[in-house]
Order: sequence, then structure tokens, then C-alpha cells
Amino acid sequence: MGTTANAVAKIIVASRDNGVIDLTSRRAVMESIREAHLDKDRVSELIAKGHDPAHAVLIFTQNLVSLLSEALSELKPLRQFCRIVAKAEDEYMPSYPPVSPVTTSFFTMWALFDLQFGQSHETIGTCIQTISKDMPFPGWIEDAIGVMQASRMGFYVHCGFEERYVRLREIGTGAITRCFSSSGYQGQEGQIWFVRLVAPSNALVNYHVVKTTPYVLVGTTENMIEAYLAREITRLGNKPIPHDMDAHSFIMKHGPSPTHWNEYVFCAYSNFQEDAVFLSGVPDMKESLPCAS
Amino acid sequence: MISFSSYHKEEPKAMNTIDLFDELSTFCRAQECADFFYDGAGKFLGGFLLEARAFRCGWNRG
Repeated sequence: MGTTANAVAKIIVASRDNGVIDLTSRRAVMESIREAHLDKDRVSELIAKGHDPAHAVLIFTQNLVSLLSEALSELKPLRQFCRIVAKAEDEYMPSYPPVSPVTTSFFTMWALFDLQFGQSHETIGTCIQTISKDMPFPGWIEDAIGVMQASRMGFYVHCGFEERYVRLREIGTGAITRCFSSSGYQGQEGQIWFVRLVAPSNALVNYHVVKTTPYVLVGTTENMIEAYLAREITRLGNKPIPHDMDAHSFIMKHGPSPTHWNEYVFCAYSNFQEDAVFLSGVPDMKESLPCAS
Repeated sequence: MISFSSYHKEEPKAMNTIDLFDELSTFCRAQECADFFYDGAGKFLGGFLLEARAFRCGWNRG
């Protein structure tokens, strides 16, 4: 963690030292927590509604980080973050097709855990991780924030099913992962998915969660994506990559530009159904993208 | 889910961020993570797709 996260943590923690209990603030906090559906037993409620427990923990944690980011956004070190996200929200109108192919979950995970700001390349996730050193959340929340911060988008080849899970092989790394598809979409062997996988946050879980509604590529082959990734890594050249990331992970998490993957989804949109969105084309070949202007 | 466009456009709430962290931390501590993964009969719940999935109602759309 770097200087921006430390500056944010310092501002937050310093406000504790004034020793004043502000009842108006406490009431406002409780109201915000209720509005964000973060009341006690919320995870159990999600599971009772039919959510997979690992996914329910991630939904709860995402909502928690969203609420914290809203409070943090008033701080000066986060001005750059607010400016980029507000502009991107106006441009891509995250929702779900037919309103926008940029889904709410895709956009929110990008904004909270991928979008870097400040000289030390922080994200909202790394800021909260730094703050929680002084004001610890329970371990299960810290672990969930940790795996969400480590997550990124990726292109995967559908390799069939294993019990109720989907097996995905990543293009570029070859890693094979057993996944729970949270939208309910199961797909077919041989498809290429563009999704965000979140690793298990505790020892009870032995599968990854597909956190976003799957983007399924149509008419775009594994070879085309592989060649694209190689071109992108070549373009990266000797540019220094923060936080000791490898080039492939950096491209997939942060992109060659901050809104690169939002732009790709927006321009590559082809069709949708209730639990999947279909894309077509190669990110750096504008003529291959159906909605590129 | 919050709207990022609302940043700085709404009246600021009379809320100290430190209080928000404290309250959320308290709420989270009241929940035991291991309990989420088993039903009352001790059956592991992971990976199930239940019929009453909330996404059908658009709750977690996207």
C-alpha cells in the first residue's frame, strides 16, 4: 500500500481522536446502512433467497465497499477517482441490456477494485485494506475484500462441466479453474467467456465465483484473442508495471487505459439473454466491433 | 448499489466516515462466516442453484 491509501487512512483515523460522540452522525450512519441493505443477517437473507453462500458473501462485501467508497469520495485524495468514475458512468450508463451492455456488476467491480488513482496507484479496495489495519473488520470481510481486490477480468475457454460447476481455461495463462456461475448461465463447451473470477475467500469453498454476468464471445476465436493479448503485451513494452504484476494480469485488470474494458464491452455488444450478454470482435480491431462508431 | 454520479451532487449526509466504519465493523462481527455455508441439518450449501434465485427478480441483475 502506498502514500495515497495512507493519507486517506490518516484522515479517517484522525477524526476518531476528537473524542466527541456525534449522535446526528450515528443516526445518519444507521440510515445509510439500512438503505444499502447491510443490516445484520443480510448474508443469511441472501442465502435464504437462493444465492450460493460464497456469492452471497461477495454481494454483501461489494455493497459494503460501495457504501464506504461513497463516504470516502468526499475526501480530497479521491477527487481523481470520482472524476473518472462519474464520467465513465455518464458515458456507459451501467445497467443491463438493452439499456447498456456494461452491466452494473462489471462496472462496480471495475470502479472499486481495478480503477487506479493517485501516485501510488491505489484502488478503493486497497484504501479500505489500509484503513482496516487501524479499524479492523472481522477476518471474513477482510478476506473477501482481499480476493475481490485480487480479482480481474479474463478471457476463458469453456471446458465443460464438473458436477454443478463450469470448468474454464484462461487464454494466455492456460490455468483451469472450477467455477460457480452466479448468473445461472451454464453455457456450452468451446465457448469463450469474458468474465471476472473471484477466488475462494475461505477454506470452506473450493471453487471460484463468476462474479459478473458472462460476456460470451460470438465469432471470435481463441487464436484471435491470444494474438490480441500478445499485441497488447508488446505495446506495453518496458512500461513499469505497479505492484509487481505480470504484463498479462496488468492488461486484464487495468487495461492499456483506465476505461479500456468498459469501451470494449460497449463497442463489442451483439445480443443478450436473461443470464448472459453476447459480444463480438477483437478489442484493438475497431472494424470488428459491431457498435464501434 | 450506489450511483457514482451522485458523488458530490447530493447534499452531504451528516455522517462521519469513522462512525460508518465502526458501525459496519460491528454489524459484520455479529455474523459468523462458517454459518453461511451450512443449513440447519449441517448440509453444505456451496455451489447450489436454487429455484428461487433472486436474480430472476432482478435483484442482483448484472
